[in-house]
Amino acid sequence: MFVIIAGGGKVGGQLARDLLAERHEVVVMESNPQKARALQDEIGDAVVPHDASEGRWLIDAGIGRADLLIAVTGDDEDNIVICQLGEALSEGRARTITRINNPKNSDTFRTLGIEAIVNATDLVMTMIERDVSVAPVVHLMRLRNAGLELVEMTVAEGSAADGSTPQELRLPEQGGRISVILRDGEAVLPSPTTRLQAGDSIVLVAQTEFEEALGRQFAAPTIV
Amino acid sequence: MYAIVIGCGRAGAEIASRMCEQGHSVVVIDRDRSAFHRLSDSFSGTTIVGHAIDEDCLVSAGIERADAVIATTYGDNSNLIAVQLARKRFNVQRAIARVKDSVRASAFANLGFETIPSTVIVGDAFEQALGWEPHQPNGPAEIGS
Repeated sequence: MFVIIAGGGKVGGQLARDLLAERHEVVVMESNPQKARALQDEIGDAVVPHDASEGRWLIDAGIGRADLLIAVTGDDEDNIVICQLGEALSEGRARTITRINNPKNSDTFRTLGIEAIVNATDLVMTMIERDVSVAPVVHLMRLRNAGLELVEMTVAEGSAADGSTPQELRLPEQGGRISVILRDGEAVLPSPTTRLQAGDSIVLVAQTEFEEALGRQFAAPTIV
Repeated sequence: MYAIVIGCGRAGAEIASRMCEQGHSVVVIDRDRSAFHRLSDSFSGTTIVGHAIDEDCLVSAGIERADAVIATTYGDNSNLIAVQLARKRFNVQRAIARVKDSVRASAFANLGFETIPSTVIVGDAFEQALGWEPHQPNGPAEIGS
């Protein structure tokens, strides 16, 4: 698979490492010269030191033959436009995934019908199953029209989740289902009796309305 | 016409002032209050400090009854999001984005959004000034080669 990653920050860099380790062809586009250079030192020629929303560079990077475009810059507007541009320039061939940093924007973009581009559900799920970690991502994506969010949460020490099993947390009743546990760089497929540990990253499919309540189970207890 | 101009740089201030001269009602939005100094004496509209894609800001600017949204900020992507919001969310009849990147401008024009490809327009003007043949639009460069 040929993957273009727009944004060479923490998330983009990690995705690139993981995808390269899986022997995918990867190009990372990063317009910040320092970040681009640091990444170049590590993964070499696979870095294009330019803004992915600049059409000529996206074409240069190979959007015409890309299978997947992942937009993970720190800017929601840029991510959305990069995905739209990628779809247009590849004539719909490249699948696109983005992340939404600001939940307030996710509502805005949903009303635009932009959701379609934030939606390569099965693909992301496949990637997660194959242990492509997407560590600091919080809102991974919104699943189209289903009122669901794919979110990642980290189990805080002393939280309700720390030391509990999904069954004990009664997550399904509370609108959430754990897809995968990322522990010490390994992906663990959870059973109802898998015990969660502080430091685990949980990828969770959550009903949008319950997301906040679910989040409290994984957060450190508040000191009263 | 009731128009919202987003971005009060030179271009935004120019079009906002011109629209006032034509007798239209104009609201100008910019993140930076000091940008409004660029508006000419003929500007008779109102100004709002806010962000281009903040729905609350757009609503307070009266986007729900606007006839036109003119997006002129420095950022092509902000402008493109603003016109999509205007068209799709608020059903504004005319929403036009200034887009400096010619590839992005034509890609979004093909998607049905009105774009002003400012770099291409300036290039054309220079060509014309030099007395050369008009520019042949050849669209984006070859893709996938």
